Amino acid sequence: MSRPWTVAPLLLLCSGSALAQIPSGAAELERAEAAEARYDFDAAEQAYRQVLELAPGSRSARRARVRLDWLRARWTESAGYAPLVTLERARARALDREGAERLGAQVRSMPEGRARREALFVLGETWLRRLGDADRAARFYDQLADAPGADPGEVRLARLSAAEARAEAGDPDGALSDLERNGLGSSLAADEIRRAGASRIGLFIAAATLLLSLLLLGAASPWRAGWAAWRRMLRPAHLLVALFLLVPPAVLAELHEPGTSAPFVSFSVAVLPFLAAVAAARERMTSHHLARATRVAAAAGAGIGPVAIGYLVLHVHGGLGFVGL
Amino acid sequence: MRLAPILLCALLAFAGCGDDDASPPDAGPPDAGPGDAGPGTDAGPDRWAIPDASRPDIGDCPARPPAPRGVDEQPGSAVLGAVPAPIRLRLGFAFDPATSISAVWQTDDGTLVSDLEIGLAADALTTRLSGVTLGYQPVDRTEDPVRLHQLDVCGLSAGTSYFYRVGGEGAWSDVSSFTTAPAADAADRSIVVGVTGDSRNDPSVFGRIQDDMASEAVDLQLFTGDVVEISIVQTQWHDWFDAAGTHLATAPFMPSNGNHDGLSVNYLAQFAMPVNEKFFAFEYGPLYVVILDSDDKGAEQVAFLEWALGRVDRVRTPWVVAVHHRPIWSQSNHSSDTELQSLWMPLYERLGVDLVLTGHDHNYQRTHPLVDGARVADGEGVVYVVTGGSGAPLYGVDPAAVMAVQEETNHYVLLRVSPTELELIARYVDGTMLDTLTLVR
Repeated sequence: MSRPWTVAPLLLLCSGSALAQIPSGAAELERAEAAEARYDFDAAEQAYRQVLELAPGSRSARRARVRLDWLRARWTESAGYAPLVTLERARARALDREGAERLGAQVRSMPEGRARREALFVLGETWLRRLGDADRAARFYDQLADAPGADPGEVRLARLSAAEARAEAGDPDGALSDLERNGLGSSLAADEIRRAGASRIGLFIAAATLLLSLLLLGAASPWRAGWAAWRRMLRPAHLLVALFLLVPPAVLAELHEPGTSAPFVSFSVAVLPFLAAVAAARERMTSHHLARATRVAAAAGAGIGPVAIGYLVLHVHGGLGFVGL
Repeated sequence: MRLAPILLCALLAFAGCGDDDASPPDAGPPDAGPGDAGPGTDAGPDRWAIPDASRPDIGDCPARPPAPRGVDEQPGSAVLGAVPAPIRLRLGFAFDPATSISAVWQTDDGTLVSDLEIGLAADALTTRLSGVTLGYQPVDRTEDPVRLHQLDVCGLSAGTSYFYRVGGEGAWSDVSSFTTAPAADAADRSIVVGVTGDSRNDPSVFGRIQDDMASEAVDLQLFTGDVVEISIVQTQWHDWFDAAGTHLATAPFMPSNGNHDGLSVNYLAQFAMPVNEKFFAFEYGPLYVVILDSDDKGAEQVAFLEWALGRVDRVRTPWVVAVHHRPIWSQSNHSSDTELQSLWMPLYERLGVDLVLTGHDHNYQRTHPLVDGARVADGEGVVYVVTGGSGAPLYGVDPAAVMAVQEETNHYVLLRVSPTELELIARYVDGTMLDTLTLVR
């Protein structure tokens, strides 16, 4: 008969290993997460259920409940977790062109459900933002918006993203009318598309102003007016006011969002010779031609003035964030 | 967009406030809070410590510092306004997150009832507490006055799920649930932390991220600054909170001040944060978090940082993370902040910060582990991350030797933290993996 002291360690060892085999909530959670990592969602679901059974009020249970709900929302009657496996494999790293093509083909045969809708969103995002094919992206967003079972949040996201893709593809009017038709005309995305349009208009106005200024400058021939006339028409105070009004927004805009100062700069460049041309014309009223040029300039100024103010209001926003407000 | 705030801001800009470091005219830390005591005051460094609020049962917390300047604070009462239903409910904490929680919500201006019921089950909300109401008038006088309610609950058990609702008789919210931070000695201390930043112009991106992040059951959210574009425009905050939906009601959200937040009344009043609400440190499970205001490069914050990092207990919290807005390392529009490199970076390196989370540049960037700007072996040095892609206009990136990953994209970051491992996962807003990094202790 063996002595008790020789048996004790053996007993301890056995009981230790037996204890280690008793599943705990935390251990089951680890098992579930490991199963998710290898795309074995059936095993993960089972392990999450175990966590809820073993430790219902624990922190592990909270996570298990959330993950279980997430998995079940992506399970399909006809294909189980197969669509989710396809989706998660695709989400494991950013898709290249070939991968996106492959997922696009797989999506066609996926049963309707959450996993398919999320795959459509991945495809839209991949083509729009990572592969640079906005036309193609818009088609996937459209499919998502029309997918059976899509909740209002998904539909909204899909419509907004589709509009963004259309605008990116060069059809901002179509994008805007789509948004308006779907009740999203006052969304930020719509504002953004309009702002981009306004920016293009602003650049056009700046370019037109510059061109007009150069023409007027030629007509007014201020260089013939003499230095005294130049001094009178471009008084330092006038220049300071013009600089104060036009340059700070441009500088602020550039520092805040690089690239946004272009309209300010072009406008500033355009406006200054324009003012000079008008002033020069006024200096030389005796000439019949210059009097006519003055009238043209005045008319143009009257027309451009309000537009210019509107233009500045539109663009001053670009410089605001920079001031920390 | 409303014209009045724009014109107001334009005037402010032209009046000389227009530099990158300027704060709005009404900005400023809350008056006379314990964290506001400057160097040389009697309070000592402990003024930076989160006050001990432990108590044997669920109940009120000790008094918090006074409300920010411009905010009218009064105890809640039974008064109901015309639309008293609580909206935009969010969580934070002003005391130890293992044993306390703070709820903030909004109602119409006439509602003063500020109650909270809490318990261990949705149908057993056994404890009722009464909080305070906070009111302020946005700078744009055409905007409606803002009526907030805040309630700090102490005496909770660590690592425990609670159910709660806010409001009062006749105007209760739906029941929500949250889980307190795990105890330092708990067997299961693993946590999941969600990190976002620079949501600014497009709250729908932030909303999308919140939806995605919810599937990860995050325990805590950190934010690297710049919540909205113009922080004194209240409607922008409303859009942001509405985009976040109910997700902010299930885990504490702790922001750091960005240049667009500007420590405005709106920013300070709308989140529950500890101590001076500007820079503070706390333990959350195995993680020690230091939140800083990178628009303030003064000596007090350097002293605070040294104090905060010097008291880290590596057994309780093996991992240390710093969060602030301006990046120490960035190869993008705003570039690396050289002042912070000389002020804070040496402390990060000397006192063993593992990860620095920043924003300001609207993209994702992660450095190699660095010491004094030079790459070191994995597991040594400090890793710096720029995570500023939650809705602000994206910025391009320029390649740099210190950078391991750079991408101009909307995204979010998850930290899975256990005592032995810190895993960083960055994801695009469609859930696709953008970057992973695992630090092992």
